[in-house]
Amino acid sequence: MILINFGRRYRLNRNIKILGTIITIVFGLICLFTPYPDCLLASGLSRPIVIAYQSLSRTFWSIIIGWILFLCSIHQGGLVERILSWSIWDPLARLNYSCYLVHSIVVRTMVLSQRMPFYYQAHLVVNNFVSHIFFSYAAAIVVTIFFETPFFIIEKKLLKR
Amino acid sequence: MTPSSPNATVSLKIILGLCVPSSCDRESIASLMNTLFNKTDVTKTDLSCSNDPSNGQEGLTSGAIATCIVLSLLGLIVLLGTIIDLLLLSTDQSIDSQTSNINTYTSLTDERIELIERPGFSLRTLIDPESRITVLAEFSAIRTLRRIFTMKQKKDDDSFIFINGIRVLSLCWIIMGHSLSFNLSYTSNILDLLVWTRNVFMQLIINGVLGVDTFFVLSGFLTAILFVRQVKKEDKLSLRLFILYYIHRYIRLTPTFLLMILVSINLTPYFGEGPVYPREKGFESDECRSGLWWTSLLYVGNLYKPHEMCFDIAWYLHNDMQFHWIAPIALVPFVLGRKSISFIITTIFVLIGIISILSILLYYPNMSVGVLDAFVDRVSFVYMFYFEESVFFYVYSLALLSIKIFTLLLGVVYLPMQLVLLLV
Repeated sequence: MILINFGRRYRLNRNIKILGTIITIVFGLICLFTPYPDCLLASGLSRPIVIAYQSLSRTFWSIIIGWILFLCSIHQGGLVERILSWSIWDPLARLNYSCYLVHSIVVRTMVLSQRMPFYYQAHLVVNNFVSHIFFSYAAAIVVTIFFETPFFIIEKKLLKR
Repeated sequence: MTPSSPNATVSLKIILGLCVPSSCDRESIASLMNTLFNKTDVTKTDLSCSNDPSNGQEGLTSGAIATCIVLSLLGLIVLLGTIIDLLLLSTDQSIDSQTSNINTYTSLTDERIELIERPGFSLRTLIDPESRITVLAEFSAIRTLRRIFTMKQKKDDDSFIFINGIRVLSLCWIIMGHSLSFNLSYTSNILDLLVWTRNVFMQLIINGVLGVDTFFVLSGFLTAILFVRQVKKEDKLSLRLFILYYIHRYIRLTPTFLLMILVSINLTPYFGEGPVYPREKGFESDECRSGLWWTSLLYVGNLYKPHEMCFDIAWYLHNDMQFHWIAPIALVPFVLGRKSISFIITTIFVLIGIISILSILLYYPNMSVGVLDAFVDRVSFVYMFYFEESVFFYVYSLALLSIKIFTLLLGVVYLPMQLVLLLV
């Protein structure tokens, strides 16, 4: 709405921008690594910290994303904005909904069809990640062609009339 | 399993794998087990054989046949569309090449030109570009592929190209999390995995849950922007706008979602085989298979019998749709110019969210909260958190809120600037 009211030419004070970005990074680190000591310490984290983390982490996280969205929409995102605007994301983003739906079937089928259980090693984990992501998007192409597009076109025709 | 956790009904069992020749029947395996372990309570109902027929019967079930028919109908439409599209393309090209031929060989007699032109004509009348048949060409697989893979970006000021990057990266993060978590029950060295959690980088994978939160924020951001933009365009809040607001999203999401559920219920038993592959039921629960899918149709699966929900990852869709329903509560005051009211409403949403998590945790003091615990203990906090409470409420509303905070901030900055300009 700011974007509508004031256009996207709004220039942010440089100091505010730096301050906001630093706060965002700190929030991000808090969100990502607060549970880490829980895995390190035998006793785990104390209950109050866990409760605080669970109730607040999502709020903090959405502030981070909100800040990124804000900076990018006034075209002051810098490097982050440039990376996020790469045109390689375009086709993938069009497949995103199908991919989200199909990925659980793909991953489960691949994992549960194993004759032997996995013996996990670092490279196998990475290997799994890459192949699961690749095959999910590949399956998403099929889902988009056969499931999504036909109904998308029908909807377009219906709403036009 | 902690006995103090609420409705603790799940008991963990040891699953033993045994390789026997396929000529053995269940009866003899059960008796073999009983002699081997000196126990007598192993019956053939405890056994699950990897060569059991899919869906519990030989051949296809009626559900699977129905699904196949639906899928082949869709396939047929796309196939027809592709053929017509190809024909259209080839006639276009042949006409082009003919006209160029005619242009170069101007010395040709009229008769010959007629001869050359005729086949083009007949093809053209066969597939008249204006006719209804060409509508089918829109379903063409080639067109869809071209639409997906065009990289040309609109450089106008209204689009948010950077959102594509966030969406794709978040989904990759989520798939990484799932790729590990779906597999936890079927590993030889699960203890190694637990040791790995001492590595800082594992935190990045374990916390992939936050990727879902990112989606909620994006969804809130886009909903707010599009809603306000639409109202600005029409200059008023019409009933039509509201109906479209609700219907549009519903019909964009539902058909694909339902087809995926259909496939997941009926066809996944045939997708694979192996000692742990669920040949009997596929990936869906009994309740879902016997008709609980209507909760997905209405997007209330996370509220009614959440543990039996179809397509378990779809809890996100259910939540998101519910937020979409309630978002106008905060958006309408905003577009009516009462920005402070919508600011208060969103703040209340955020507080409801925080307080509800807090109260759940305080009410069940022994609830386990780790993400990894959730896979062992199905009644843990994370599980309940996702499926039973719409606590995500507040992430969504915070997305709305964050935009509004910025608006207020900017309003504060903007007004004095205008005053200064006026004075100058």
